[in-house]
Amino acid sequence: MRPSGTKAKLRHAVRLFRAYTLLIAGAIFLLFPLVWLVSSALKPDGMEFVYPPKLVPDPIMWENFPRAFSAQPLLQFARNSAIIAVFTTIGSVISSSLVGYGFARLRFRGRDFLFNVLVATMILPEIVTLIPTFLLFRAIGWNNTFLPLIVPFFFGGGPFKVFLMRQFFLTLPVELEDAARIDGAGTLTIWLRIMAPLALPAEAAVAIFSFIGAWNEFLRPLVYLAAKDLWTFAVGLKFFIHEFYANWNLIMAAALVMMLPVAILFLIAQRYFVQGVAATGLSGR
Amino acid sequence: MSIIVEKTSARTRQSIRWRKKLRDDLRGYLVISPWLIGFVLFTAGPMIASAYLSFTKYDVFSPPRWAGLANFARMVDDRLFYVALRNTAEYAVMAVPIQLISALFFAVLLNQKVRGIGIFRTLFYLPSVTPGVANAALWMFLLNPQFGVVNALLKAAGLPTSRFLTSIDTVRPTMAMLSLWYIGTNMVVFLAALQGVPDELYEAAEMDGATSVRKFVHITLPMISPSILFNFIIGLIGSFQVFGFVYIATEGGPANASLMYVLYIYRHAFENFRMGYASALAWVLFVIVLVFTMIQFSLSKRWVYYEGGTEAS
Amino acid sequence: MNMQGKSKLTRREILKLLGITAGGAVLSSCGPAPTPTEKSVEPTAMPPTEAPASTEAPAPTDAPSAEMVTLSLWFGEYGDDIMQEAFDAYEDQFGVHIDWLNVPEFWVKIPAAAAAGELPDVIIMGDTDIPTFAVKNVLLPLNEYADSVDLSDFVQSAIAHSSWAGELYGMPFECGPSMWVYNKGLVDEAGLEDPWELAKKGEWTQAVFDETIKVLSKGEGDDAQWGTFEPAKSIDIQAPFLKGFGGDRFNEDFTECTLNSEGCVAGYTYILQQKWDGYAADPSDAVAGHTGILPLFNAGKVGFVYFPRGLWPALNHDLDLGLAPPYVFTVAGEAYTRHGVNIFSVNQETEYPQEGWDFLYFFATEGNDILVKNQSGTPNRYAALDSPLWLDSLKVEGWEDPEAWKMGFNATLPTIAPPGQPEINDLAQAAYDSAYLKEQTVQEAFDEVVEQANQILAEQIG
Repeated sequence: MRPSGTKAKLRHAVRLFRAYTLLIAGAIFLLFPLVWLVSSALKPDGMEFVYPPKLVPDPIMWENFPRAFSAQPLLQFARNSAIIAVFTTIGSVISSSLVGYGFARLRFRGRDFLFNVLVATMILPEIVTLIPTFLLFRAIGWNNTFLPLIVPFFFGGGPFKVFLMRQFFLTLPVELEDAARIDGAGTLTIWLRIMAPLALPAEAAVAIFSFIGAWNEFLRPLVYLAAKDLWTFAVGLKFFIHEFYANWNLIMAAALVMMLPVAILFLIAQRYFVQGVAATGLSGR
Repeated sequence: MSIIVEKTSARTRQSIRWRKKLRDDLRGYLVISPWLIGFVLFTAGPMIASAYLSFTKYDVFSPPRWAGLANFARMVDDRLFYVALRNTAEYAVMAVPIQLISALFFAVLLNQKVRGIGIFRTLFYLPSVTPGVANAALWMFLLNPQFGVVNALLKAAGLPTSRFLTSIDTVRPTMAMLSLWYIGTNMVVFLAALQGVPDELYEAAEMDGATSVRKFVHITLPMISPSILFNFIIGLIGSFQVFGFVYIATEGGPANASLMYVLYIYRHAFENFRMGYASALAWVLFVIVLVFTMIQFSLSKRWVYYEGGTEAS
Repeated sequence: MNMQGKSKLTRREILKLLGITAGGAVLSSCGPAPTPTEKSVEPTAMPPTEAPASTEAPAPTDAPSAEMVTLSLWFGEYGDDIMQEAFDAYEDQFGVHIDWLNVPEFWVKIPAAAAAGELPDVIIMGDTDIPTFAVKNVLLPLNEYADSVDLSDFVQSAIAHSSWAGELYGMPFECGPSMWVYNKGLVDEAGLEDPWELAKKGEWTQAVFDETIKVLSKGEGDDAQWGTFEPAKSIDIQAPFLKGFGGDRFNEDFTECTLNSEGCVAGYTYILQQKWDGYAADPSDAVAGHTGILPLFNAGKVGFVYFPRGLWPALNHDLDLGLAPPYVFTVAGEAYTRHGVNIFSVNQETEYPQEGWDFLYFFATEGNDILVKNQSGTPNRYAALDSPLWLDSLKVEGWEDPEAWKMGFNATLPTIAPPGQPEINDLAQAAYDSAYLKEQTVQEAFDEVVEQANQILAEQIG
């Protein structure tokens, strides 16, 4: 099936060339603004907006990074964001996978209606429920803690993720489940030992989205967290901007620092997109 | 065996079915209980509260006062309501297709098994992680009509320049283009879906002599159609909720050309202290988007392919 | 797929999942407990002046002993340490502790706290906020407290901004008139006489100003420079221009919006004409950020800008800078400028009204001195304009003539923002844009505004 020989090798090389060309072109296009972000971050004070715009700063101020860190407790903010993001992710992945499976594969009365309700909850803009939700959490004594930002994500992770998992589960073949049921496996077992592993690409996606969502979120941490030592990075960055409105280089440096953990996380997590295919082990249909 | 089956009355069979249904229901509800409980505890209350508020005058500093349909009557005469709605709809109509097509294109690109694809995936995803504030500031800088890099490059290439965010006609299309930099989520969803398409299908098609285009249209697209629906719905909802960028970069201008709906809600809620009217606005948006979404869902039965058959709604 | 012994394993795994979940919940409730004082709430504010870049912010001070009265306070964007110095001084003198916090996005946190009944004892207010909050009964009326002190030495415009309908609602602790800061180098280069020298001779008129910026506006592309810049698009900041042409934003008792009057239209036309002619840069000619024009000015591209004094550290001090008196309009025959004011007010529901007032007055006097000393603000009392504290702080930079500042202080008229102004402002901005882009004439655009604005005024005040 796999032709060999020079002709095939040539075709392979052309394909590879085309692939890399497109990838590099795409990368240049998408990274264009980020290149300027980095460039601004490394510029000396006052030179950020010089005209004509200079791409390569002169001198390159690597010290802008330590400067940003000493200006505000960025490490503390990062720690807080990390705590919130990690627990949010754990809760989201587990609960969204379970609930998504339920909506996808189980039959029960009211299922479709409830799913529509779930989708509907995504439509209302956050700002109108901000104050009622704030009052709710305050009534149970959770304001000025991380709880309002974490606990709700253990209950499905949010409609977006359940929706995603449900769509994904619907693409998996029923035969595996049927086989397992015949073997006498319970629903929970099927989910945990068969479906969830198969849905690893989607779960990896959910993990990434959860982490990033929690990491970048601004409005709710602003409202729920008061004390400065509880602030997340996103809130801290906004404050940073107020304090250092004139130092765009430092602001950009702080923004870059904020992006770094997520980039690393993504680099690690994207491996799991490949795993899904292998795990499916689909032969017949 | 068959004797017993024949002797089983219709009623018994019916009650067996009924009990099985009950068991299924119970099991289903148990499995989705995390969401259901969370919904009841954290979501339903505030949503109902905001629905109630839309019938009141509420300036936050004093208790809400019942106002009946006054907010909605006001909306009918509110010129800016129509402006905001039109702006947002226009933006969504442009942004969603752009996002879908590009996300799919990039995902296909990133689905290739070449060396270093992981790095490329990360690079492509990176822009989506940029904090909203930094992103807005960056684009204001790059798109500056006179000093920006983009116009400088266009001029150098002999192409016409644009006023981008500073002109009434170009601000919304520009924003639609800018949404491209945040399609990381859509890209990742497509990528995960593409990974789930079994290789055997492609191999079988190749043996039949199918071209790349045919393979794409007849295998890839149907197999990932659930994720297309997902990205479409999410993109739609997201486009109607665009806020951060306009808040920072354009402030709704120039001349309200980029006054997006949620920005308008925000102004009434937090600047004019008209929480009641803001809630009413939000719920009108809710109804509009909900109706549209439900239509899309029912239409989707025609073109979305689910492996499991007709389980989906 | 191993199905043997499935139930046992599944149970263990369920327990594992529950364990993670519970652990998550427990650990996530880690975070400092809310401060033990009764009324500690979070603070924020948006004063127009900014502090110099601060170093590491200190943690909030520890909770005081049980007997000490504590006031909770909101502010934002001053250097934490400078404010701390003032708060400490207050505590030393009055034995009252200040529990403060400094947070961005005032406008989101205030409603949330208000809805929860959790506004702090003392809140910072900007110069357009008092009427709105007063009308909503959020602020403590202060006339009964103020009767015992003499407020006549305070900048009267600032006091006016701290009052509404004859009642005082806050004490201005810092204020600064809008002054022209100009790039002396550019002016000299163009062969023009120095504006401040002219002002001292009484010859700094609008005609001269118009001519100056015309001469300074030249060049294209890399060499482009502008004489001045567009004033911020807020009607209270545009107000001096409008007043200079005989127009006013509202009528005497704020029941009517008059933005479409002859004077206002003339004023707006004046501003827009500068832009159309290319004499005035605008924020889209500059780049992102709250500072707008600052980068261009620092790059030596703009002749005249106005800044509140708190922004001084952000100026490029390598430039040869000058300070000239505020907008001078000969049409109406008088000089008008406005003040940016920062005010502290007391929450109507506070348990400590007297302590609140004491703090307000203290901060408006000694607090102001501390701010001035630390180059974080301008004086708010006429007498303070001659104080060594102020004069010494001016000498640090050296290019500001105290007499120029005095002129500014004396030319200030209040530009009070009635309740509903934010909404009217949004309308006015859109109209301004529309007129600039020539989608409508100035008159048409603002006629539309006035129609809706009158409705808004009626709702808010009535």
